Amino acid sequence: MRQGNMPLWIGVFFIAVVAIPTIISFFYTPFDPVVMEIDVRLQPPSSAHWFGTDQYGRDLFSRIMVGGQTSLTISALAVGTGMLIGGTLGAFSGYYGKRTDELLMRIAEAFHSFPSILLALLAVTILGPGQRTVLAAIAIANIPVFMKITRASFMQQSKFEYVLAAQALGASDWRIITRHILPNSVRVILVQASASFAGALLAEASLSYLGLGVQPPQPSWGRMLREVQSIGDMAPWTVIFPGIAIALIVLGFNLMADGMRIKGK
Amino acid sequence: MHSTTMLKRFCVISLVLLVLVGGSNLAVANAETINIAVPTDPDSFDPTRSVAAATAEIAFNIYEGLVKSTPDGQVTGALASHWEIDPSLKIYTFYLREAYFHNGSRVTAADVVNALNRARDPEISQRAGNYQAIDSVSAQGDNQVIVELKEPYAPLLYELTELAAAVYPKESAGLANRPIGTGPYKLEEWRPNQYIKLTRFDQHWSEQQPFFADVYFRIMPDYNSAVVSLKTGSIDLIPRLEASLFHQVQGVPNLAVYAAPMNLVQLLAVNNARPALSDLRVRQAIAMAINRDQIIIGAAWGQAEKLYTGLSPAMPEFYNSNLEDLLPYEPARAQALLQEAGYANLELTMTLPSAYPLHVQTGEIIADQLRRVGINVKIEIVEWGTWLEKVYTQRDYDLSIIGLTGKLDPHTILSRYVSTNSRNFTNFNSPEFDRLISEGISVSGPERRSIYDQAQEIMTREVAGVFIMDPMQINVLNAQIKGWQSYPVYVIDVAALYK
Repeated sequence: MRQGNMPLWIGVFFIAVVAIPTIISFFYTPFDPVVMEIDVRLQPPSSAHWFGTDQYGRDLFSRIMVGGQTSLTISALAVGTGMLIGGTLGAFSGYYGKRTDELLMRIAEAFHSFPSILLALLAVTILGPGQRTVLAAIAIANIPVFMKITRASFMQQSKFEYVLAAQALGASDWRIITRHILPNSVRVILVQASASFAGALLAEASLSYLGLGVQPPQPSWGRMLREVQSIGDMAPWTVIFPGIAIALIVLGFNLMADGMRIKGK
Repeated sequence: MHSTTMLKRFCVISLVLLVLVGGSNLAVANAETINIAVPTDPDSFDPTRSVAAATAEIAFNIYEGLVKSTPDGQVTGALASHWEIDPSLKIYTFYLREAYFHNGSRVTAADVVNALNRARDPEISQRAGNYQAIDSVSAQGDNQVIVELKEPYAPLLYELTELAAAVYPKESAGLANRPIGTGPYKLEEWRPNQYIKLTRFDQHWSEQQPFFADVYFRIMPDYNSAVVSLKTGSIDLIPRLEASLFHQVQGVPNLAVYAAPMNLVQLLAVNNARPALSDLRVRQAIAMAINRDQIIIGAAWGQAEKLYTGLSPAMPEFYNSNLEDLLPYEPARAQALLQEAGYANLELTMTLPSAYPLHVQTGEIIADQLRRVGINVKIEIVEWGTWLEKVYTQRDYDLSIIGLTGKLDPHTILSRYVSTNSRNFTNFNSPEFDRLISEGISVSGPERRSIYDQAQEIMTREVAGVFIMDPMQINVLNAQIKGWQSYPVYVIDVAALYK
């Protein structure tokens, strides 16, 4: 902080701007985000409707607040799952090496070579559209990413003397992995998590934009953009605000990842 | 060093010029060329194979049948100059005019017999079901065709205007890609995903030369970019613009907008066979929970006419306009009916076709309206293929929204709600309705009208579906182009256009 880690703090600020209203929306929204009022459709921003209303007369501010719930929850769960599975497999692979490593890494690379959006579309074709599919698709795309980064860190650490010392003292593999190596690898994993989070948010928005994510009337940022693409010129607020929400939070997580990387050096 | 920069600059400039020249190919096109934006490629130009409306609208300019439809929904002679119907109403004699195919050969009665026999053969034709009333088709000399029916069948002439009854040379193959018809235009070139080029056919029997020599149907799935092209002049006509884009073309000086009812019946399909929905009170409650005015504003931007029955007001001779108050918008009564039926907390799924934004938006609004009377609707948006399979074929759904395209005869439209009809995807079952529909085909005049009036009342009162709207067909043209004709069927009449 004293050295002025600007990216980190700007990132945290951007995330807070979007995440705080989202958290509030679990308890309170100015208007019902789902109920339509056709009579007040497409009203520009005003004191009653801060961000204006959409094509069905729903309050855009309330919808963006609630839309964040879906985006953030799905991204958090997807990255969490990816991190847990990928991290475990990566640790295993990096610590033991040899054939296990070969096998696991080849599988990871095979997955990694698929463009993630293609993987997601495949998942949607098999499982049908909806929140669970999107979550599964993003999580699967994240597993190899975390596997690689954890494995690299574990391979490096396991050659250090403190590990050899622990082994010489007869510590079990489990104890070495969890008590000794993991705390030293946590930072790289967290940096990756922050970057992955930005990617997950964007993937969720893209899939909703394609109509494959959350089904209406549940609000989601990507879907909100898709629905108004032909009226953006007459009602610009319907495009601008969801767009800003996505841009701010994605930028926020990317900046935070950068900041953490700087701090780590 | 300096010379390489020069070289680079030269390359960039020539590239820019190339793009400009290439791009302006469209813009400075010759005055006798018209560019029309259509969303998809045709499925097949073989009249026996085609099922897509997108094909019919182009093929209307290439093929003709014995008769064709007029802009006001009547039937007029095409390859037949006139016809006679014998008093039993079972024998039709068509007299052919002197007409030529695009390959130069003359149209003979044998060609017509061959085409009609193929059209009614279930092994060959996708639409054979529409021609089952025909008992035999025969030629008398070179210029007379006699069609004999099993029973009197009033819709026959209308069915003969369809693409499925188009006439092509007897010895022809590969019509799917190389159609040979008798229409005012012939196919010159088809580049899938790019364009379909038609050229004027100089030997058309009408001896009237269409104004435009070359016609390009350009495939543009994105209406936003089609509108931009229209404004810049590289497209001259967009038929069937989405209502949400109407504001982009309204009041633009060099554009002319023609709106007319589409003769499309958009309905909330209610699967009558589902346990809760087989209760008439539940279906009537659903009908009374729906506010059509709000839907038309919210989903169709005010560009639609309200409907209360399975026919469109675009068919004034048969549309029953007295059904508005049968099941009016009364949410309180709807709630009471649900209580009475014991479904105070009903859960239903609405399956919507993603390919049709109008239907998806209508569905979203209806779901909201139904929630207000206590029916919890879960929306499920699916691909077009899935929709066809699940809703239309397997009838595995609760609620759905779809548009049924217009035909010229009420029988063709209403017979789908007959309990035994293979297209009766709402599983409507009313013996009284079935009886009326089978009576309707053999009578004419005011008697026929009265039968269809009763049939429409039954389908509305017993809720075969909730009929919502007939959306306006919004056609936008470059203002220099005149002569636009709106038809109550899915066609574009290019020959009528001029500058």
